[in-house]
Amino acid sequence: MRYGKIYLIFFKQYLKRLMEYRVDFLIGMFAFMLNQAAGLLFLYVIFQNISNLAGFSIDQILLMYGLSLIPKGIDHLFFDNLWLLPRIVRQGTMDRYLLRPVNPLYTFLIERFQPDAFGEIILGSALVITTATRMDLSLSVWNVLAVLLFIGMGIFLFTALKLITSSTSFWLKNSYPLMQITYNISDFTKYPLSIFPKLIQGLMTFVIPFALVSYYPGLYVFGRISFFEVFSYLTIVLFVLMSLGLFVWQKGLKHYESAGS
Amino acid sequence: MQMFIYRGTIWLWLLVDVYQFVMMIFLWKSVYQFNDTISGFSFNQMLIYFLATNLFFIFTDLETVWAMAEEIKEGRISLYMVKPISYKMRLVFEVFGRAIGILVLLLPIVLATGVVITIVFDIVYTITLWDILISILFIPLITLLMFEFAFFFGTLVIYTNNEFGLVIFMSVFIRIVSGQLIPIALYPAFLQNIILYVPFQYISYPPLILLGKIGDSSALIGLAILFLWVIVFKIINHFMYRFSVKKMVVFGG
Repeated sequence: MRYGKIYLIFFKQYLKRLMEYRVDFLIGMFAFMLNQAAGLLFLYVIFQNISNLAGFSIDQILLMYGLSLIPKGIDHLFFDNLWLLPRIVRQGTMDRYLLRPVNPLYTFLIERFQPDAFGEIILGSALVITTATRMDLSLSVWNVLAVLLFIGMGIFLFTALKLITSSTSFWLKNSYPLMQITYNISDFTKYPLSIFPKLIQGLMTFVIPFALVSYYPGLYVFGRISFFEVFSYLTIVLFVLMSLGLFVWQKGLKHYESAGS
Repeated sequence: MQMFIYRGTIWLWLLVDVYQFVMMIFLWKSVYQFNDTISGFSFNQMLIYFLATNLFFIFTDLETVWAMAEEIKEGRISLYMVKPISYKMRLVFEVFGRAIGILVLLLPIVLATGVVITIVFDIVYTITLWDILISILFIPLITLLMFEFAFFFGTLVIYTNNEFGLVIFMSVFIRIVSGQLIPIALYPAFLQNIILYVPFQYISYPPLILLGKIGDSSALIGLAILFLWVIVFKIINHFMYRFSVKKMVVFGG
């Protein structure tokens, strides 16, 4: 309850700032949309020359892509502050969060609300809706709920990965490249996993499991694998990554050495 | 020199570049399952194209925007402006310094990757010394063009706070219109027509020259046009900067 109240206060402050700098918001949203549009352009150009990629049509691939954009965008919307962790550790301003009578991770996470992410969320939803209607999928309410559940779990998958990589900054001081790399690799989720060799497939399923937010839910929608297969993969991987993330964060906080004076 | 402080980081970056390139190979391999050539590019040529483009992309550095954003926001820019070397000149030298630094690191990796794919995919090259010479001539001009472009956006930081959005925007834009995303020849016609009118297509000229896709005479013409564009950008920036600096407010002494 108390946590919810704090969130509201932070959020109100944030909205005030947003209204102050409206153009900034538009630039950001537009930039992220264009970024994704570039990826779509690439797919479009490729599909001018081929009719299917490893047995998937363009609509199917776009659906998977859209499915991965939504959790990515929501994570970006709420938990973007993790990108700033390396800088905060280096400058020693982490002290601020440690002194507050609330969980430091919580206050740290809610400090920034990133509306740039609407670019991704809108585009992702649009892709899913248009491709799903074009393909004439016969989905039951149960199917839709399952997909929503996968998206919900996907959000925390992105957050957990970011938490793990950014928390290394307590030791490395600059974990930014590590985060950037993980982020870059997520770009490859647009393509069906089956075009890659087994080693990379395994990597994308269990280690940097971006395939769990696009490829597998996609297969589920097309009726090629069962709900429980996707759900069990997601639960196991999410549980491991979340625990690892919280563990690294806790260890990191103990190791945190502030700055100067 | 700054980048050599965190040496571990560099290795990580290189590793990921190689990893991404390998992913790329598999992607194209499955695309080429149905066609032998796409818009005149064979599979082997496509690989060389992307490898070479990666190398030449070193010279399209956008650090300048970050540097300017930081200096403008913190007001440090005023310290640089009173120094006896012009603010812009200093930034240009930083860009060239960075490019050379990265080149030293990346060139061996690219060459090694090149050798590996040459052996694996049995590639035959037909590159003349003349091609290489012209390609090298493009480098300083591409660097300057990109610098002027970045400087323009850097000046815009005076008006906005979201330099992050700006940089994402520019880098995506450049990736699309320069042919780093995918060779321009593969684009639909209407997009090609637009790209014809902006100078960034010349960024992918060197790889295309090396592949023998662009003849000597059109390469030289491209070089001349690129040169003119650099001057045009310089003039725009000159006025833009003079105008904007007056608008800038720096707090404190």
